[in-house]
Amino acid sequence: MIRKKLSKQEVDQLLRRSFRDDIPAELEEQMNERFLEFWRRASLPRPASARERVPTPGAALTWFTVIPNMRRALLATWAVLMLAAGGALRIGHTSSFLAESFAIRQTAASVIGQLQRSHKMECRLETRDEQGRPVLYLISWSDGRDTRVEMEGPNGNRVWFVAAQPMRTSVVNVPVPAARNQPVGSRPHERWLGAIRDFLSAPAMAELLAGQWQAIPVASPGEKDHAAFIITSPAGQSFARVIVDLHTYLPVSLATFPAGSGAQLASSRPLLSARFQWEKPSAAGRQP
Amino acid sequence: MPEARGIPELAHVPEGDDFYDAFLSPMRSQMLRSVWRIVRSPELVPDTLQDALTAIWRCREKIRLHPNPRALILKITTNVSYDALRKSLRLQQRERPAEEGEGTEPLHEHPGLHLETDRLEKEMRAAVACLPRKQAVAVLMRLVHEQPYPLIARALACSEPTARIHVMRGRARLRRLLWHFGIRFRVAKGDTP
Repeated sequence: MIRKKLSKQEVDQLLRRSFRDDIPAELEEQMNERFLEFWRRASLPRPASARERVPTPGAALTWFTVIPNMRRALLATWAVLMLAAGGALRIGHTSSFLAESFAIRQTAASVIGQLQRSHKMECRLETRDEQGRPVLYLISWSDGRDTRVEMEGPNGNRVWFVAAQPMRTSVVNVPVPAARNQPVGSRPHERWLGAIRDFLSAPAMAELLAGQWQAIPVASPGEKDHAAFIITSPAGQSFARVIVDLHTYLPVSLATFPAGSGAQLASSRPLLSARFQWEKPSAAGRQP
Repeated sequence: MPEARGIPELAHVPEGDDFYDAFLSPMRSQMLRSVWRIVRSPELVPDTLQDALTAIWRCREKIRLHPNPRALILKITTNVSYDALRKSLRLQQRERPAEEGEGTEPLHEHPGLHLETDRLEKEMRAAVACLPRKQAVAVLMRLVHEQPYPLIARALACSEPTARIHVMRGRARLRRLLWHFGIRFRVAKGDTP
């Protein structure tokens, strides 16, 4: 007696025997039904999906069709209303208080930022002394150099060089050669410089401009690229009117007014008025 | 018998579609028998048939364009049935691990060809389920459904020699698997399998 692997023929025989065709009649009938049922289902008209369904007036009254349609209609109405509101706002040129407030704040931030980035400034500042006589200051400062202040007043001309730290009183007082007969060593420079201390450096100017900004119409209509603002100091003690160049976001002119002149600012006489010339900051630092 | 699965949602048959009449109806009996012969489980057969019909329905355009649509339908049916066979064997192994233990009498202790029919069928189906898919489909189509090689080659999208090689390798592997499973003939004098 030996043991051996199945031969090819034996494998075939066993395979046919194992997979023989002896389907029970009952099962065959059941499978036939299944077969036909499958095809019958596939042949039936498929119920339309919600997207394809077109509601008839009667069908539209059922909840299953009304609710999705109502939701869609509400969304569509809301979208149309939003579009209409946007169009009306754009056509009507009505500015939103909120948007305007944001725009003013953005301008203020840009001006202060540009001030701190600026390299060189020249300023012509007019004011009056205690006796009401006109005094003219020419202020210039640039990076890394002392601020030069030239004063032309009723008592003659003066020139000061103020250290970069603006509030320090290490002032060099140099007489202008053409100055009229004024002694050099006896000037109370703090008094003269105190009036213009806010213009002696960029940080000091930025501090002056820090306050509540309010847009006002530009005085001269020809200056399209300029915008005018009134700046109220945080304590509400002083007012300043500043005109800003909207290309460079740097102040073009500035006038300060005494406290209590808020309502009659237009008719008030400024304490001082200044006009600025700036060396434009590099393009990378410019604000939009 | 567990309740059969529901019929899946299918695309609607367009009016005037002749797929059923031209392709499916002539193959109905052969499909039913093919599924039964491979799966051989009254519980699984209806679902397997439905899976086969679904697979056929999904690639009906491919069947229409095929050079031998009937071969492709038979191949799809065999393929789906092969999957069902593997699945049922896996389930059986999980559900009844202890039944095939020490208590089963070794087959080779019986004189001659004394293989229990159930055990034989089971081992053979297990061996077929162990074959690679293409070899299993080729072996089943050739040896069980007795289809000619050109038709098998068409269905498997290969050449006729390749189809022959699939059958040959499948058969050789079956021999090895059956030997490994312990199914071997003890040939005594005068005994023939």
